[in-house]
Amino acid sequence: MDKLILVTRPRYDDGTEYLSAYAGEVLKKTEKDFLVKDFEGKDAIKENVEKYLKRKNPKLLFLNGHGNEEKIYGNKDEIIFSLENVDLIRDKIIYARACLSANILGREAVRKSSGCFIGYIFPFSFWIDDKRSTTPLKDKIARMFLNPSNEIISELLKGHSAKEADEKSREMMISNMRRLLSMEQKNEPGATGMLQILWGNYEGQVVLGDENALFN
Amino acid sequence: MTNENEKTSEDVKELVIQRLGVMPSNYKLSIGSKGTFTKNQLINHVIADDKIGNQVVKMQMNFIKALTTGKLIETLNKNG
Amino acid sequence: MEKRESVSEDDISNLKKIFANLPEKIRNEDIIIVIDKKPYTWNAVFLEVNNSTSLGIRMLKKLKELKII
Repeated sequence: MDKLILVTRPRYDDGTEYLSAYAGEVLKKTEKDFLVKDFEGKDAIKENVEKYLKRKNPKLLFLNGHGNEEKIYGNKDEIIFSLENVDLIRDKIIYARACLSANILGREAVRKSSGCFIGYIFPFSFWIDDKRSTTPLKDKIARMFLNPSNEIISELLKGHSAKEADEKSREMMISNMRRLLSMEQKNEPGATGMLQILWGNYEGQVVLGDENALFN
Repeated sequence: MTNENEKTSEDVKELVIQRLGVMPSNYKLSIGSKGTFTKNQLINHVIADDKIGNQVVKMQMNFIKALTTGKLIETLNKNG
Repeated sequence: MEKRESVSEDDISNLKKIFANLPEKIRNEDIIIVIDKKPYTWNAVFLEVNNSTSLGIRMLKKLKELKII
C-alpha cells in the first residue's frame, strides 16, 4: 500500500476555515513525501470520501470539521462518517479534529481493529483574533491551540507512533500553557481565558485502539 | 453544581459571566460544532442557560476544578 | 469584633492549601467569586479571608456552596 493520506477540509464557517487553513499548512510541508488526497471545501462530502476509501484504502485519515459523539461532518454539516459506515475506517490511523467523536464513533472504529483513533472526548475549541479571521495562519492566538494539534499529524508523518504523536502534542500544549502563564496582563489580557480552553483540549485529547500504530 | 439537565445556578452563571468579561472584545471562541462566538454572545448564551451556555459553564468549572485539585500545576510541572 | 459565622477552620485551611498551589498569574487575574455583583480574584479572596473580615467569611461560604473549595 502506498503512503496514502486522506484529508477532509470543509470550509464554511470560522471554525472550519481555521481548521482547514492549519491542516493545509502541515500538509504543505509533507506533500513531496506522501500521496495526499485532499477533500477540500465542497469536495468534503460522504460520496467522494467513501468512493476513495473503498478504491484506494488509505492508511492515514486526517479529518477536520465539526462532529459529535457519533458523527464526523464534512461540507455544510453533511455527515461523512457515522456508525453506519464506521467499517470503512477500521484498521486505519485516524486523527479526527472533530469534537466529541472519540466518545462513541472513535471507540467503535477501533473495536476489533488494528487501527487507532486520536480524537477528543470534549469539544475541540480555540480562541481566534477576529482582526485576523481572514488570514487564519497569521492569527497568533489561534496558533496557540492549532499548532499542538497539527503536531499530531506532523509526528505521524515522521513515522512516530500514535502514542508518540499524542505525547509530542501534549508537550506543546504544556509549553503553550506555561507561556500563557508568563504573559503580562497588559500585553495579553486574554491569557487566562486562553489557558482554560487549552486545558480543555489537553484533557479531552485521547488515543484509542493501538497506540503503537505507525503510518509506514 | 449542574448537569446538562439541571439549570445552572445563578451564582455559577454570575461567576462565569464575570470570567468571560475579561476577554478582549476582538476575540472569538470556536467551540466545536456549536459555532464561533464573541464574549458578549457567550455571555448571552450563559444567561439563556442553553446548550452552548451550559457547555461554556462546563468548560469554565472544569478548569477551576483543575486549579483547586492541583491537576493543572502538576501537569505544568511535568518534564521539568 | 465581628462574630464569625458558619465557616470552619478546615474551610480556611483548604482555601490556603489551594491558594498556595496556584501560579502567580492565576492568583492575580483569575476571578473566582462574585459577591454583591463584584468580582474577586484569588488574591483578593485570600486577603479578606486571611484578615478574617466578614466579606472573607461570605466569600468562603459561597466558595463552598459552589463546590469550588
